[in-house]
Amino acid sequence: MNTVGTPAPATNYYALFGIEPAFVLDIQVLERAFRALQRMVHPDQFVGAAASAQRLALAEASLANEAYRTLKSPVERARHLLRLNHIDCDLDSARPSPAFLMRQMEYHEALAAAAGNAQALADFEDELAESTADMVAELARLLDEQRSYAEAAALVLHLQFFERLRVQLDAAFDRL
Amino acid sequence: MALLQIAEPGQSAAPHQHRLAVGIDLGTTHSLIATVRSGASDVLADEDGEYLLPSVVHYRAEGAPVIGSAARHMAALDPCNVVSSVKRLMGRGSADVGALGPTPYRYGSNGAQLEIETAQGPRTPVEVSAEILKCLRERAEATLGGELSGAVITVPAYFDDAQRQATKDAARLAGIDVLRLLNEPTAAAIAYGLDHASEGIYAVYDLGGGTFDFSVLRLERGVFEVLATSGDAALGGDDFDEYLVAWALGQRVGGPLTHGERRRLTSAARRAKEALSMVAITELVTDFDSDTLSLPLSRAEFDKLTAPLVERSFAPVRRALRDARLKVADIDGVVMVGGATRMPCVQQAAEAFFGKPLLCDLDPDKVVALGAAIHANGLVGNRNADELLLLDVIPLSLGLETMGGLVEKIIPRNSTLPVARGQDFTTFKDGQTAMSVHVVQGERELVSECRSLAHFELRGIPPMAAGAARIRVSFQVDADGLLAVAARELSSGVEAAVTVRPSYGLAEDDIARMLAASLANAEADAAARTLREESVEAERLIEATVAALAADGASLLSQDEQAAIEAALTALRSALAQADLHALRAAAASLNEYSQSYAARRMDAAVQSALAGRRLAEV
Repeated sequence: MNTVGTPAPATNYYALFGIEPAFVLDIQVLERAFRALQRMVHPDQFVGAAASAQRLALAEASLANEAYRTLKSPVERARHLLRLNHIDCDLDSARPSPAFLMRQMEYHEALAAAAGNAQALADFEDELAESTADMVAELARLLDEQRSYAEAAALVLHLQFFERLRVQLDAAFDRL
Repeated sequence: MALLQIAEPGQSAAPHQHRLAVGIDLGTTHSLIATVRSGASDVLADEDGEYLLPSVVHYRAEGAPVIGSAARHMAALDPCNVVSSVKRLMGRGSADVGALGPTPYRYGSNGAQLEIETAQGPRTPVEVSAEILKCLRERAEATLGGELSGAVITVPAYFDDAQRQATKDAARLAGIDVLRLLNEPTAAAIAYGLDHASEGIYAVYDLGGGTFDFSVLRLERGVFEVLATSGDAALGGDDFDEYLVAWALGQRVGGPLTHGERRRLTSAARRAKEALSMVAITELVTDFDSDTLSLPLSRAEFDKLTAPLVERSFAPVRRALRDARLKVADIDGVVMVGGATRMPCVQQAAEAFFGKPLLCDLDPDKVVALGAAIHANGLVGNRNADELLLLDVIPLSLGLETMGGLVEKIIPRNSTLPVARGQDFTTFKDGQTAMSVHVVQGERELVSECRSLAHFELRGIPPMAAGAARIRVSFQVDADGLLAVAARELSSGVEAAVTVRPSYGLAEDDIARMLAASLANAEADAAARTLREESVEAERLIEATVAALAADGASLLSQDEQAAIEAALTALRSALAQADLHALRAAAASLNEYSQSYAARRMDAAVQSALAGRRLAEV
């Protein structure tokens, strides 16, 4: 079995929460909208209800969770925003530049060197967080001010790579 | 009451009678049942005033099984027929027995299903748990004077799909309608949070008899949002007893113990452990068949002996904090739950780790059952369900086996429930017409190191070149943490769906058979019970539909649609009057079908108005 990739969402998640589509968003506004929606659709509100209503609640609440998760994460939010503008960016199908490939290798080597050492892993984590924050700031500029989606898409690929590195870092912490 | 609640969010539905709903803490060593009476949550005691029911079942050669303390007293005399700590076997197969340490039982297996040989014949862990649940149900019905509408049953947060499914099966077998499976630390947080009107980030450290759970939650204006959970499904107070047993055996000269002697030694170890929570020094005393063992033991020695167990609990704690992207300093309070947190060594270690005083003013034995009762009360509509919103997570990642025995993760651990996720796959051979789907749960990258949940096959894929078919596998995990999987070939529409029946393999037929067998008067009773349940269901459906039609039927439905629903309503009412199960089911299904798109339209309308209202409020 080979992975083909995640299906594109059919829904505009911003619209689901009644929020204007933009990369920079007020997380508290998002949280309030999410909770208001879950209070309406969560399966807990439908215990003992007709089976059809329960199925519907399950689907709606799952969608609300997925939308919230997507908009809360900067990388996922940027990807969603780009998809709404008909640009699909996925690390698996992308052709990164040689310079970025070099950087990826360096990061992998740094992580491998830090494995098994709690302090080294923590330092690596801090460094990763710092680079991520810089890139998120740059994304905000590209997406909301300049609307240069092609440039933003390239940056999102880098961020996606950082996210994966973060998962590998978590696994390295688990193995300590 | 779906349709009604959509119509008037936050307001109680049509006035109805108080429904009897309970919370059940089905524990490894003890079980409890609680309910909300006059606005307060309280545990229910038996006729002797005892609220803790030892989770022990004695199968005698003659007569009904004995449950609770009476069964525990028989443990040393009839070790093979007294089943205790059965929770450790829930959802487990024959292959897992070795990991449980020494038990006196003779195991059998019926296919993939584990069985314990007893004087009454082979019993599955699900059946043993059902006896405990039945005993609690009878206690509640006697105390409350009526039949239960339903129960919230707690499970360790770290229970996997198979263990959850097994727990739900046991409840069904005991004749209990499960409103929701609720994670134990979340239940504790509800009881604690509501009691103290707490807000902020709280950690729940739950060390029970056989399992350890750790959860981090955010409490804010009635919302209980679990940020991360982790645990160790095989770490609990029982392990401290086992360490003491091993220590005692190391001090003793003599041959191997009989099962009875071993049981007595384990009890003595438990008593010594409990004593050391109160005093600094005690004696571990037990009678063997030919001699007596008496060993002095200080708290300091005990702490040193069991330090590896205490330390083991902090690995999951660190993992959960990292998953939640939190530091120790971000935690506003630590709630201690489970009888094993009474041990001073556990409290000291937790206090040192978190660097703040612990919250243990609610009885650590009761707090889970109390929280479950509060949630049950809300779910049946006895109070404004709007007050409390519970957002829990899945404890372990779900994935699929891909080429080379590797796991492709589809739903990562700590995703908020319910969650639906799809992934597209393709064929790897020209003309491939079938694909096997293997669902696993766990964090490891290799399939062999994760728990296998289900295997199924998608057949009838039209032959295409390798890589041309698109097969979408969808996972849906519901609010109980239970998984359903469906696979579909997108170009041809070939479909395969399974509700995951765990690999321990209790099929739907098995449950029906056991259910029938467990009811005293077999078939007739079972049929009567089913009819009663379906009638209640039908009455609720009628009540909800009528109220919905009155509220907005005219604005959301065409005249034809209204007429169709009215006709289906009439049919259901007459089926109800006839008390015919088949007619009732058919009529309910047909009304459900007619009202499905109506329910969807009402949901849309309600969501729109909720969002519009909020936007206005913010302007």
